[in-house]
Amino acid sequence: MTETVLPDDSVAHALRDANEIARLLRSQQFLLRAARVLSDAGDYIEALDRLAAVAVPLLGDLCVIDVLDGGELVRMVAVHAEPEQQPLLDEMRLRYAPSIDSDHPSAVVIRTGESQWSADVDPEFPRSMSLDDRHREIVTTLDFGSFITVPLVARETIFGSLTLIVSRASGRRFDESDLALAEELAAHAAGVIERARRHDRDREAAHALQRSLLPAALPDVDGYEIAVRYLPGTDGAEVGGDWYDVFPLPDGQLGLAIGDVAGHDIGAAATMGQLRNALRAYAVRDIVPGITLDELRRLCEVTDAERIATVTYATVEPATGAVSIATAGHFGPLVRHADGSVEAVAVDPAPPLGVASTPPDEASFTLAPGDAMVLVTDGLVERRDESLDVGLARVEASLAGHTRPSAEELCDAVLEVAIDPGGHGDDVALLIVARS
Amino acid sequence: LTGEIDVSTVGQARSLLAEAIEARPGGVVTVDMSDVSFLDSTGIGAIVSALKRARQADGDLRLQGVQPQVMKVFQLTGLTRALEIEPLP
Repeated sequence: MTETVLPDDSVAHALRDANEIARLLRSQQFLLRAARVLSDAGDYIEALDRLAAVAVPLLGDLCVIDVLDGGELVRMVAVHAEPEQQPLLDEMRLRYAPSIDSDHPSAVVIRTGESQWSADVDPEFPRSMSLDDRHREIVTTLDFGSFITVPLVARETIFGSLTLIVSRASGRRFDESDLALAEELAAHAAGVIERARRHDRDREAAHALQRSLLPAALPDVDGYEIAVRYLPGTDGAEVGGDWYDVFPLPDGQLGLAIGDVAGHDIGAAATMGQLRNALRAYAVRDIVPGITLDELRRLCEVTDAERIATVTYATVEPATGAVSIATAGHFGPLVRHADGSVEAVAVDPAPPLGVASTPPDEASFTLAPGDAMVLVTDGLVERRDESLDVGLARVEASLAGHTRPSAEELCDAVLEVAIDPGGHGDDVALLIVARS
Repeated sequence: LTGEIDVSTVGQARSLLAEAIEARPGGVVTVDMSDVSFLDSTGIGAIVSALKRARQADGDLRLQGVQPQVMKVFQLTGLTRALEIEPLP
């Protein structure tokens, strides 16, 4: 057997190289795993939670994520590898956010963009950062041995910091290679977090827009009770295009509209706002519902060509209960009579708005004392693999029976049966007018 | 078109209809609906989009062999008024 003898320093080099390669490989594997875990975070908070979850315990015993919000530092996430230490860390997170002007490492990192770290923390250092005796007690118990704080930067803006800490008792100490790994992790995570935050903001803006487009208050009409419900869809919590409107007309009648714009984005909400305003504009000219919807259809033909919208519009003469109603692609009304029976009023619908057609036919009926008219959107009657009339029948059944229910009670009864226990995917609007 | 047209399959229906319309600009596209057993509101949306697209190109869309339960959906949404829809004989 022969043996190759290498000079001592050559063996040392080879070993060092091998260790270095193994370390790099581990780092790359870690970063790949982190990227995968982060990539399918549903929202901003989940992205932060996932970042902490990949960092602990592999990179540190403890991970804190601070985020700049309105000029203040907010401690968004703090995770400890030891479950029994978590309550202490939670207390620190909730009660002791460092000031952005302080010498606290998170504040320095966020102000300067420069990473801060220490292989061996002077026990006095965390205590010097504490804000009161309790804070001091907590940091003493948590026993910080070594820390790294790196900036979270997206689109050239520092929006937060990631802090990793190992306890003194663990015996671990950070070195330059840990710092490099933390910086790489932060660089990747920052992009994911920023995208999630932007997505959350867009969604909030769309929801806010939609809420602002629904009437803030309902008119008071003597002898009538009006109740409405709007529930956003739960599938991905996206914004929907369902809407309703109730408004007094110049001739003393009451105008009632319910509609649905296809799509679940901010564009659907915007189109819905346009339709609602346009409908009001035509309605105040005191034209009959069929003509009002025909005007709306012609407007849609020359404007938003790609969106499908349906709408039902009714006028009610409060003194007599006389209802005139027309629909474009939407459901006709259900009427719950005073005796508890329910009738689906036949209204010959025109096609959805935007499709050329003859003007919709109007239906007329009288809302007698004790009757209630119920207008719904398809989210209430439609379930996967079930035809529309099955859903309509379910809503009809929910309205029947009750002894002199209020409009509010009828709304609750409909929602109770109509909302799919598996979560309603589509958004839902419901408008009930009851004559007392 | 075949099968159930709902949220999960509507994308496919949309692209099939768009292809058929683009292949015959200004022509009449007839859709055989005899194998379509279910259509929800997103399916209605796909048909309406296709109809508008066809008419913008000075063409038209017709539906043929519509099953009774699907016909009911077309009646509920007023589409029977807007385009030629022939029920299954």
